[in-house]
Amino acid sequence: MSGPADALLSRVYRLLRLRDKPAGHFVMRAIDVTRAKWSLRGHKVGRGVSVQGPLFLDIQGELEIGDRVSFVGNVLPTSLIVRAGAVLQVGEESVFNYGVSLEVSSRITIGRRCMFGSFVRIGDRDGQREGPIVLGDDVWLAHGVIIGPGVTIGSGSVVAAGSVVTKDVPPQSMALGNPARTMSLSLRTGVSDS
Amino acid sequence: MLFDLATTLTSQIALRSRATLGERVKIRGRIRAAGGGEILIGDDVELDGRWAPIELHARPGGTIVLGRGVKVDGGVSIEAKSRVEVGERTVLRGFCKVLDNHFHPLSGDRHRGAPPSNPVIIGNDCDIGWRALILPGARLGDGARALAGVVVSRKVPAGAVIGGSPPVLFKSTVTG
Amino acid sequence: MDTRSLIRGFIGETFFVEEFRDDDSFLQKGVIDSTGMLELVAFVEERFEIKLDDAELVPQNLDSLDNLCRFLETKQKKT
Repeated sequence: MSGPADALLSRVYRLLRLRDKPAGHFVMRAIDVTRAKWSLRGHKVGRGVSVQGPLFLDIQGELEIGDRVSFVGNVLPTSLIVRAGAVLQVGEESVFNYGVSLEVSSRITIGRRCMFGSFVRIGDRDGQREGPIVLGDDVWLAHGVIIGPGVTIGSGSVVAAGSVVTKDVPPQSMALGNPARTMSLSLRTGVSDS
Repeated sequence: MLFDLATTLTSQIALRSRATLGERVKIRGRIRAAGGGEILIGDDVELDGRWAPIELHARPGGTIVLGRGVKVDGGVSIEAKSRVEVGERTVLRGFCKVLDNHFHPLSGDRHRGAPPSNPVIIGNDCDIGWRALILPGARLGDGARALAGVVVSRKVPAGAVIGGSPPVLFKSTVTG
Repeated sequence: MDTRSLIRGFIGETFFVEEFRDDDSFLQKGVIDSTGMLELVAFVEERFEIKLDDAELVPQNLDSLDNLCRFLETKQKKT
């Protein structure tokens, strides 16, 4: 390649490297916060909310996003759908990875500092049942988890990757499987925190 | 349409700048290669991110190895903090995910840092099904198959098939 | 076959571990992990025709061959 094409491509290349550099982080964060203000305009949004990638919104009801909530990753959009008369509340400092789908027909309440892995799906209405969904504080839903209607997940609990939750999960527990069973959080994988 | 073209082009440039590519590598659509780690892509590998992007995320110090002839479908995500190896001619089907670390501790401050990694080694001629999940510590022998949607976190011997929830192993009846 | 050998056999076959001590922690020694625990529980429930409460799924009942055998003994005494 030569000339102008070369120059353009190396400029693009340098731009792509920006996110990997410390100074780049600062710039990218500013962009992400601005992007959040734009994507979520018109809704109740707290301070310091950031959006890293595309966000798909269809909000006919009420949306409330707490301070410093972040939507990270930009592989595929995260989707928030709130039907007329429905309410979605997201507690402060919760983090959403890419491809998450939240669909609310009545009410979904999410506590503080919750974590949503890529492709998590939460819907309070499926073909058969409908019921509000509640997540306490510090709940971690790993990659690909599916939460069904009417489920309450207690604070501090973890849902293992790939699980499908159809029943309540008590606080400080681990839910695992399809359909998920609840077990003690201390039945963790051998290579884990310690 | 122009936007699609632009994103395809930029992702392919990014891949070429961030990964070491072998001969005749076929890259289509969007590939998200990021993280600062090492990505090694062997000869004749095919990456098809046209419908949904492919994510290759190697953290600093981490390595992703795609062996010769590996085929990667759209939506596939590979995350390595230590090492993820995919053997020759293995197929990674749509939206499957391979990771060698859970990236968050189970309790306490979950953003304080990742737990220890546990490398994932997938052998040659394996078949990883749609939306399968290959977790830290999984080891798949040559010719092993992970059926659609299965969650694998352990050893699967060569030629065996693992599927269902809870995962059930079927040893291959074909000898040799 | 007694309970202990039965479970040891299942673990050996399912998770391809050759040697582990009766008192080795499955999780800490990496013999089986959380997903493996679920498989172990499913096996125990089916084989011994009992139902384990979610609340019983704790390390002291499951996390070693000794623990598991002790737990099953108590469980079977109750029924």
